[in-house]
Amino acid sequence: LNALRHTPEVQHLFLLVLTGNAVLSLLGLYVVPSTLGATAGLDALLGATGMQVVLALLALFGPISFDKFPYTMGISLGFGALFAAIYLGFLARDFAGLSLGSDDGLVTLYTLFAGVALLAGAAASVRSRRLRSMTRSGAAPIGISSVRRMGRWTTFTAVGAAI
Amino acid sequence: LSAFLLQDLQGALFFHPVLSVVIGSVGGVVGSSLASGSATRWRRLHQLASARV
Repeated sequence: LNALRHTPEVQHLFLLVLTGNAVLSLLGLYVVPSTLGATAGLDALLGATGMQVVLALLALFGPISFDKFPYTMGISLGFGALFAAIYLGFLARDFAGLSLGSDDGLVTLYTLFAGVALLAGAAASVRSRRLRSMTRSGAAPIGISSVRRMGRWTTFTAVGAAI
Repeated sequence: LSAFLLQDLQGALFFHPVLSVVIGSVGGVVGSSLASGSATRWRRLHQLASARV
C-alpha cells in the first residue's frame, strides 16, 4: 500500500487496466458457467487472473530498480513503444482494409518483436558498461555491485521491452 | 461464440503476456550478452595490439 501511494498516475492507470482484465476473466464464469466444472476451464481462469497479478507486481516494483538509471528505463520504454507503434500500424492497416507494406503474419511479428528485444538489450548493455567504467573511475559512485546491477538491468530491460 | 470469445480472452490475457515476457527476456539477455561479449573481445584485441606495439 505504501508503494501504491508513491507510484505515478500512469502506473495507477496501468493497474486499473489490469484489474479490469482480471474482472473480465472472472466474468467469463457468467458467460460459460460450466467452466467451474471443468479442470481445463478452471486452469485457464486462474492462469489469466494470476497473470494480471504478476503483471501488476512487475509494473509496481519493476521501475524501482531503475530509480537511479532513468536513461536505461528510457531505452526499455523507447524500444517497447517502438514495437507497439509498429504493431498498432499493422492493426490500423488491417482494419482500414489496405494492403500496403509488408505482410503482418506471425513470423514477421515475432521476428520484429525478438529484434526489438535484442536491440533493447544490446543498447542497455552498452549503456550500463559505460556507467560501470564511470563507477570504477569514481565519477559516479553507486552502492550495489556491478554484477548485480548488470543482471538486474538486463532482466528488467528485457521485461520492459516485452511489455 | 462463447467458447470462441473465451479462447480469445485467454489468448489476450494469458498466452500473449507469457509469450511476450519469454521472447522479450530471452531477446534482451541475448542482445545484452552479444553487446557485452563484442565489447570485451574488442577491448582484449585492442590491448593485445597495444602490447605488441
